[in-house]
Parts: sequence; structure tokens; C-alpha cells
Amino acid sequence: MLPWDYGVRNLTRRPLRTVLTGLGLTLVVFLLLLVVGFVRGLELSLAQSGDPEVVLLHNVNAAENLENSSISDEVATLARTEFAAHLVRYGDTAALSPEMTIASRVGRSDAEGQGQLGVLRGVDWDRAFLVRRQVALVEGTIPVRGEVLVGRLVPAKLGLRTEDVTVGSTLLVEGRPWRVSGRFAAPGTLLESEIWCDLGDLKTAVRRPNDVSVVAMRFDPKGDPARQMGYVEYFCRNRRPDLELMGSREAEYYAALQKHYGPMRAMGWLLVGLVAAAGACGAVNTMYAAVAGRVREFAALQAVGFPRRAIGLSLLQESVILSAAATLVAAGLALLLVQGVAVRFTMGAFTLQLDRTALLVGCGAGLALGVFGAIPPAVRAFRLPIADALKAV
Amino acid sequence: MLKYLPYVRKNVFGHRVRTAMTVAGTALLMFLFLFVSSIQEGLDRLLSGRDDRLIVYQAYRFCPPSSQLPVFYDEAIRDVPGVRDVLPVKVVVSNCRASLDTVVFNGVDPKRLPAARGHFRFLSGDWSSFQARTDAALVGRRIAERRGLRPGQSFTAAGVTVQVAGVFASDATGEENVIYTHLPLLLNQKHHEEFHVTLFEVALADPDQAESVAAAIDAKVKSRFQVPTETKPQKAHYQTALADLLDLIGMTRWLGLVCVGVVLVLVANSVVMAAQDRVKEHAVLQTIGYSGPRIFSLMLAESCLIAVVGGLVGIAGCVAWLVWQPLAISTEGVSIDFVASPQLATWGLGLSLVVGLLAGLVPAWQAGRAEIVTSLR
Amino acid sequence: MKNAEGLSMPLVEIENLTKSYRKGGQEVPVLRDLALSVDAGEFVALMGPSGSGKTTLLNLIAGIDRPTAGVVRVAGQDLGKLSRNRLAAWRANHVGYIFQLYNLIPVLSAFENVELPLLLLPLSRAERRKRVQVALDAVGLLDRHDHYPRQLSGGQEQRVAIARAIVADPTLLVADEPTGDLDADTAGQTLLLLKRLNKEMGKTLVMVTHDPKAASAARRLVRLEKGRLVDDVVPLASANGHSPRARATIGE
Repeated sequence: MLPWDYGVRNLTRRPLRTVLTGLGLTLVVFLLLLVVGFVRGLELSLAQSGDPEVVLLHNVNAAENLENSSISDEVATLARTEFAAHLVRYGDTAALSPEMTIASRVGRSDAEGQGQLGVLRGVDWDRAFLVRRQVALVEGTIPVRGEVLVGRLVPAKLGLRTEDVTVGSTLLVEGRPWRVSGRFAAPGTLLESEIWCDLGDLKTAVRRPNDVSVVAMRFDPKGDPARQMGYVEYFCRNRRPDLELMGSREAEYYAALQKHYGPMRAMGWLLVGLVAAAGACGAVNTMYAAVAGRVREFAALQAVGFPRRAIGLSLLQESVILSAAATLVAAGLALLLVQGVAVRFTMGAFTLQLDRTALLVGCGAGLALGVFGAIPPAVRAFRLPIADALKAV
Repeated sequence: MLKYLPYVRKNVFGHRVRTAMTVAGTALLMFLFLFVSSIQEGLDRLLSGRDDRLIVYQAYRFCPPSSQLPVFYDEAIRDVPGVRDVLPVKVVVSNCRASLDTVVFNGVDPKRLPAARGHFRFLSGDWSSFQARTDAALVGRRIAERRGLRPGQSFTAAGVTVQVAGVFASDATGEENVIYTHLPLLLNQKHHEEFHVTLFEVALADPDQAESVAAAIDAKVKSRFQVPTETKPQKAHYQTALADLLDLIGMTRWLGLVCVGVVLVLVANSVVMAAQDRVKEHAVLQTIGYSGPRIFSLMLAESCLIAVVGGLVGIAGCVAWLVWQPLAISTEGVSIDFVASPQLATWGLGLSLVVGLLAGLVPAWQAGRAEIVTSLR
Repeated sequence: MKNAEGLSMPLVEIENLTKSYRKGGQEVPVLRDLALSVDAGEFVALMGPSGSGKTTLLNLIAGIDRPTAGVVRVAGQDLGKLSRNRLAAWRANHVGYIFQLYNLIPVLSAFENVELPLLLLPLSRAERRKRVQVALDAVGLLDRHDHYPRQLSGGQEQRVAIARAIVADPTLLVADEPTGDLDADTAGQTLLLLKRLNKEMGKTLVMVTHDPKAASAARRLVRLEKGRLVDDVVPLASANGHSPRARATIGE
């Protein structure tokens, strides 16, 4: 085996080339991590948003967009009785929460006419937290009439600064000012970009006194899921078809959303592929040049007694050292600049996530560039017989 | 300078592997750059489009299903001074969320559509075939290509079934992603929404009066009816609907810029390698009588050639793909076409040239300044 | 060349020439207070042991290096007074350089290599073509005009290099060990070619060589040692009454 520092020293032989290639690889890996961070952020927020124990009763025509669902007020009362055997209970209270979700314009109270799409959820404060386990109050108090509770990602969702949406500040919703009474956290879920208020308050504001969007229920995890959903289906289709209801596991709803975003995620991966291929071109280019000028040198090493394998490994080592260094820098930059950045995206907001998968893909690609960058040049270098290679210019 | 082109060309293409890798890398990245820029171009076109229309929407609402305006509002709107005509439209979308494949139905009065959309160019079918059946649909060119729709076909989406009566082309951006059908067909879908539409299109007598007419409409509705409206010029309406995608489009802009940065590094590296390989050759040229500035310009020409060739391949590839597969991203019922216009392609090529110049600047300058005797050794 | 009084002026005039290089912070003298002149039409061989400064002297005459002190005048032009770019232009018009290792551009054909100097002159494409053909014909390689250097033998490459050096009809030809990389036969042919260029076409030639056989092709031998001119003779064989007056200046 050739000494370790032979490879290292060769990198310093042509410092400008090494620096430029390193810079190029760093940018490429950073780009990869940026795109993968976006895709993973979206995937994770959708995956984590769906509580596997939660079942939603909604309008049969609004299976894909629950914000457009509208069901009668009486469904909540009916469900409490019908599904009593399956619901999780806390003493006398069933984990069942009627909710109204509205996508409406929300803005700062001093900026009339402006504002962005915000998702409002009107809830029954006594029951909502029994169902929405991911949600926890982190600051302030539960709202009373005329007040709202905002998720931590709401400022990003509305394109506002965090200072504009503090406890005590006022937001303009449905033409009315609402005071922010507190903030909640629901880490990694789309709920964190929502604005919660009292259900009755919201129904009045949007003039829908007789309906809600969904009834969210938590079913006993120890129960048989098939039986539970079977009964839900029976209730919706056979017992009360007049209510035009449908039941969906929340996890499946978000899984369907994952599918909906499939083409966009595929596009993201396509971008990743293109960038990685471009990076490979750069790596191969540099390694070809590194090898081209050293044909004689390799022949001399072979003549001295080093096997091709050893020289090939040394080449690989050179290439991988460079790509590994670039990957480290890129990963550091990405973790600093990309991780946790909030992105507003339809009907919600999520944060870019450089989780294990993202880092594996990004850094793995970076290292792979180093490996594959060395192979074609190495193959080419050993094509000439030693005697001819020694005479090479 | 043209007489040196054979020398420049041969130096570039004589080193097959180096040039191939650099051109390939540049092509891939410029493809990407143009791809993400085409979204921005589509957005710019949409927001700089016609603005002689007002859109009356339910106040505070975004997604079409959430905007429910009583049909009889149109009489009140028509009476507002400055209003030339009012067209009620029912919008049904397959999905409100961001998607690359959203189906948007616009239900309108079939007798009034020809006047409202006189600029349509029929690629197949005509107005009479559209008016002949109650479930007839006029399909925009882009969605027709995306879904493979032709006249005579039946098509179902978002719970709506229509018969394709014709395919139209329109210069107004975004319109070619829409399927026009008869208003009653969409109104019958939900029993309790039979007399509500999504929006009203208001044609103005004087486009300069847009803001004042809009305010007047909203004030009148507020004073007389329960469901408040928000009236905006069409551009502003689109801007509001697309607001949620702006973050994403902003991100892709950065992506495009970083791609250009990588091209710069890639080409610079290639030129540096070429210059380092040809130190002696340049010294020989200087001996023959080629001045430093001339060698500088020869190297710079090489750099530009590589960058432009790579840019051309990438840009042509992207344009070809977008022509073959017209893409659009939709949200809240509004679509942004991916537009790779000739202007954008030219701008991309120009950028490749600039990148070539920048990438080659330092190595070319160094090559031109080299000492002859030292370099000959 | 004649001066104001009507007397023949040397083509190359060197006065008090000194050249030093900086190496590791120290000044290393290569040429010391040298004086030399070469008349038009002469064929001069510069000889001397390794490190004697002969290649440095050649480079100074060819205008690809600058003296530390002293004057180098070629065809009446003081090279030290020219800027870098002007010097390049001067070289294009006045100097043809023949290298030991030919230094042809590998991606260009023989034709294109020979054409390179002509691209710097205001000639039409047709004129360039004609001149290149004449130059290639003069070295006997017109039929290989479309061959690339890798397709030519060493001797052929050197002939193409010579064609390149003469194509622009320079005032002066300089050659740095032109036969150093050739076998005996090819070297002989190359030297014959150089002699022809000097005799038949009247080209002034200054050639660096350490090969006595190559030197014998020249009509004047200038010997250098440790940067100083130690000998300047016209060998008896070439002194035939028609040769230019030999002028020798022995350095201190």
C-alpha cells in the first residue's frame, strides 16, 4: 500500500485546482442538502401530523381537503353515543372534539386589507387537548371570546416577524381584531402553523351557526382498528346516510396528502439527481486532470513494485479526502443555514429538516462523488503497458 | 478575432474528456437554472397580465369552495357606476393545495362566454359545439396536453363529468390550464349551493377607474347584504391566491443562483486546468509574437465557448422538455405555467456567456502575464 | 543594413550586456558585460558548457527575456526600450524561434501550426494559405500539411517547427539546440536545411548548440564560459572570402 500522505500531498501539488474542485463539491452537496431538507421537511410534517389514534368524521365530498368539509352540529352529539365503546375516555369526558377549520385572511391589526392565508381552527377548549395530543400550551393562556391561540410557526406562515405575533398583540381575522392570548407548540406537525380559537366564536365570525368541519375522535389504541373503522363506515353509510358523512383515520388522511405531494417530491428528487450528476462531472474532470499528468509517475511506481491496486486505492483516497472535506463543510453550512428554516407552503408551514435520512442522502452523495470521480480516470491511467507509460510525456 | 476561432475551438474540443465533463456539468446545471427560472417567468407573466377586469370574491376567503356568493349579487354589482358587464363564475378545483396536476373547472353562462373570451383561438371545436350540450367543456391547451384530452372524450375530475367539445389556446397566462363548462352543471353538484357562485368577473368601462369601482362594489354589497365581498383587480387577486407559493418560488430562485455559482466554479476549474497544462504552449505563442493580452483573450474565448456550449445544451434541453411536457403549478385554483420563453432562453445563454467570462478571467490573466523563459522550462 | 555613413551595420548589436537572476534572495549572474555583433546573413553558433549562458544570450537576442544591464539592438531597434506588448509585436515581425523540443501545438495540424505566426499579420486567408504552402514546401512537408504532430516523426516535427519559424519571413532566425532531440541522420538533415536557409535564402541564423557536429554547420563559432565571451572565430572551412567579416571581442 502506498503511504497515506502520498495521496494527501498530491492534493497540495495543484492547490488552485484542489480548492476550486473542493468549492464546487461543497456547493453541490449544499444544494443537495437544501433540496433534500425541503423534501424531508414536507414528508416529516405530513407524517408527524397524523395521529394514528385519531379518526375524523367529515363530509363525504371533502375527503381530500378537510378545510372544505361541512357537517351538521348534531354529528358531535351522535358520535359521542355511537362510538362510546371505542372512544378514549378521561373520567366522564370522551376524547371527542368538534372542530371548524377555515382558511381565511389573517393579518396585523394595523395593516387593514393586507394579510396572508391563515388556517383557523375553532375548537371546544374542554375537549380539544384530549384529542390533539401533539399540542401543548407554551406561553400565555387559553383564549376566551375574542382571543386566539397561535402556533409557533404562525409568524412564518403569515410572513410576519415573531415580534408581531406575541402574547397581547392583535390580529385581524374576518375583519375583526382578535387578541393573541397565548402560543402553542406542536413540534414537527402542520398544526403548528394554525390559529386556534373558541368554536362558538369562529362559527359566529364566519356565519356558520349550524355546522362544523370535522369531529375528531380518539379511539382506544388497544381496540381492533378494523372493527373500529368498520363501525364508523357502518354508521356513516347505513345508519345516518342523510348526514353525508365519512370517517378517515387522520394518519391515512395525511398519507393521502403525502401521495398528493408525490409529484412535487419527485420533482425535488429529480433536482437532487441533476445536481449530483453535475457534481460528478466536476469530480471526474479534476481527477482526470490529476491522473493525466502522472501516467509516467504511476508507471514508475509499478516498475518499483507497487501493484495497480495500491495506486488505484491511493487515487481513490485522494478523491475521497477532497469530497469528504467538501461534504463536511457543506453539511456544517447546511445545518447552520438550512436546518429549521420555516417555509410557507399551501395550507400550512413546515421547517426544513436535515434529519438522519437527509444527511445520509446528502453526505452519502458527496462521498459517492469522490468514489465515482476516481474510477474512470484510474481505469484510464492503467491502460498503457508500463514500458510505454514510462516514455509518456 | 474570428481567425483565431479554429485554434480556440480545437483547444476546447481537442481535450475530449475535460470538455465533455465541463459541458455536461454546465448543461445539467443550466437546465436546472432555466427550469426554476421558468416558474418565476410564469409568475411574472401571470402578475403582469391583463388588468382590465375586477374579481369579486368573498371577503377573507382563498380557496374557491370557501367563497360562496349569492348569484343575485350580479344585479347589484351591475348597477355600480363604471361597471360594463358582470359574469358569474363557479370555480371547482380538484385540489386547493399546491399541485402539479390540478384540474380547474370554471362554470359560466355558455351564451355569454364568447363575448367574455373573444380572444380564444380554437385548436379544435368551436363555440357552437360548446353551447350545444349542457355538459360540454372547452379545455385549455395546456391541460388538454397534460391529460391527453380531445374533442368527443368524456372526462371526470373533482366529482364533475364533462364531454370535451373543444380545445382552445390563449395568450393570457394561466388560462390554458382551465376547463370551461356550463354554470348549471357545476351548480347542480351540491344541493345547498345551487344559487351560489365563487366569484364575479367585472368588465370595466374604464380600466383606470379599477380601484374606485372595486371599493364601490364592496361598499354596496356590505350595505345591502350579509356576505361581504372583496373586489380586486385580477392581478392582485392572483397575487393573493399565490401568496403561499411565493416562499417556495423564492427558494427555487436561490437554487438557480447556486447552480450558476457551481457552473462558474466548474468552468473556472476547467480553464485553470487548461492553462496549467499549456504553460509551455503559451510561452511558445508569446515567443512567436502573441502578446499577453492576446493570449488572455484566447483563453477567455475558450472559457466562453465551453460555458456557452454547455449552456446551449442545457437550455435547449429544458425548453424542449417544457414544450413536450407543459408544466404548471397550481394553488387555490390559480395556476402558474412553467414558461421557457425565447427571452428567458436568451437571458440564460447570455448568463452562460457572462459566467464563461468571469470564470476565465483570472486564469486567462495569469496565462497572459506568464514569464516566457520560466514557462518554457 | 547600412548606417548613416553608408557602412554596413550589424543586424544584432550587443553592448555591455549583463543578465542576472534572483535565486533564493541572491543575485546569480548569468551573463557578464558581454559584447557581440552579428551581421546580416551570418550563421552563428553559440557554444559553451552547461550554465555558460548561451541560451540566455539567445533569449535576449530573440527578445523573450530582458537584460539586467546593457543594450541589445536588433535591426536597429533597442529591445530594452520596447514595452512588453510592443516587444511581442516586434517578435512577430522579426524573429523566428526554433526550439529543441519543436513545441508544436498538439491539437493543430502541421498547416495550422505553421499558420500561427501569420494570424498576427494583416493578411487575407488566401495569402496566409499561400505562405504556409511555400514554407511547408521549403521544408519538404507539403504533403503532410494535414497531419497532426502525433502523426509525425521527430525530424518531421522539427521541420514543421522550422517552417513555422520562417513563414513570416523574419529578420532573424534563432535556434536553441535544434538537433538536440534527433537521431544522427535526422539531425544531419535538419542542419542541411538550416544551412540552405542561410545560404540560399540569406537568413541570419543564431544557433545554440553543444554538439560540435551541429556547430560545424555554422560559419562562425562564438564560445561562452561562465557568462563571458571567450572565443569568437570563423572556422577555416567556412572562411571562403564571401563570409562576413568576423569580429571578435574577448571579454575581460
